[in-house]
Amino acid sequence: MFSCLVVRLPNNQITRQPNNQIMVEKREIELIPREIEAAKGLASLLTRLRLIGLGTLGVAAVLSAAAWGATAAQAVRLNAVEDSITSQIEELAKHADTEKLAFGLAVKSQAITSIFTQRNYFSLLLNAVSSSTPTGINVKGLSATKDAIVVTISGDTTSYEELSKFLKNLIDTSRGGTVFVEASLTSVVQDSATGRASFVIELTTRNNGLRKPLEEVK
Amino acid sequence: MDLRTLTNRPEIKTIGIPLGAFFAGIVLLLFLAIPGFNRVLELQNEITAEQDRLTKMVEKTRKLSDLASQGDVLAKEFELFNRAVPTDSAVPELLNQIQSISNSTGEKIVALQFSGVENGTGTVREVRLRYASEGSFSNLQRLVEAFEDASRLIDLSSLRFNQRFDDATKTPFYSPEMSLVSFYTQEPVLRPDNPLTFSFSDPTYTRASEILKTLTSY
Repeated sequence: MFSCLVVRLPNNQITRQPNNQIMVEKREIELIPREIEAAKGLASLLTRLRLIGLGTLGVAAVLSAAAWGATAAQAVRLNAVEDSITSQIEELAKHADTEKLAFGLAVKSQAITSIFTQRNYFSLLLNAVSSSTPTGINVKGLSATKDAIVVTISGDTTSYEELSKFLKNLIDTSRGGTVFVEASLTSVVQDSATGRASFVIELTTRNNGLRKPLEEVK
Repeated sequence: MDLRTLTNRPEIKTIGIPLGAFFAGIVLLLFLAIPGFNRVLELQNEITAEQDRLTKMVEKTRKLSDLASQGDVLAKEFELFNRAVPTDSAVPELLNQIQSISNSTGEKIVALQFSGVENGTGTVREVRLRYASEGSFSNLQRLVEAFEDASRLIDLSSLRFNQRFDDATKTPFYSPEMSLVSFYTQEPVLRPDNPLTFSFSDPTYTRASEILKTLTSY
């Protein structure tokens, strides 16, 4: 019975006294039996395990039920909105003719604005050449392409003075200079039989020289 | 060892139930609760998107109702815009207009050829034509100005002319050749979700309308 009380004497210090007596210094004495302590620990662990297990299941069940309920509620809301959309589409269909006209006008307005802002006014080119041509110059040919920088004109004359005047007029801002920024004579061929000189001039147009701002169209 | 014997074992009874509940809880969370909440979020996003769609449709219906009350003005404006840029290529009408323009300016048509249809910018498609005629320089100037002033919009993409001589009368004349481009838009496809961008106060529309009213119908 007595021996049962001394469960463990760990790290006991044993010393021999000068009178040959043996002294044992007891540092720790445990009075609870090891089996009971182990059983208590196990019971506590099992309780915690049960709490965690059943708690997890409970929380999961509650969350699952909440998710299911919320999903059902949102689905009902979505159906209601979709029903409203269906009836709105039916309402829109009643205005199909008006929508066609309005949609067409929006598209055509954009298209027309774009056409006018990107248009090259070849009438400006012809007017520039016409207003720059002195009486002694006969313009025989012209070649121009949309958005091209260089315009080529050919012609003939009996007078180099007239040709010089023509070149100056073409870049004079009160005449052809509204459209052209440079006039270069690329060839002159004198025909001795007719006494006329054929020429070719390359004209460099101003940046957007053949365009009109939208405010100036008509 | 059969299942009954296994489940009757005390360690299974004490540890198995909490562990089973724990794993069942995890399974519920993973396969029911989390997907359920994800679905709720998806539905909420879907509802928000559908409500936005509904709001836009209601607004569009309101605008269309307003426009429908000005149906006559809308129809007249559409006619004006549709003359400039029709909803189909209307090639015979275009050829007819070019012929009328030539006649009114005194140019004699030598060739008029439909070269095909091409995609333009955005919703605009282009009708391409080759044109050749004979006449004086002043006629040519009037012709080009008339093309630029025509109610069905016509652009020049290139211009070339040469001076020639009439062998019979020994008088000079010009033989211009042009690449012409006219435009059309395709029939609109009406969709409930397409926004209605047209408004009578839209500056793009008002400016285009002002310009079109000054053009000449041939």
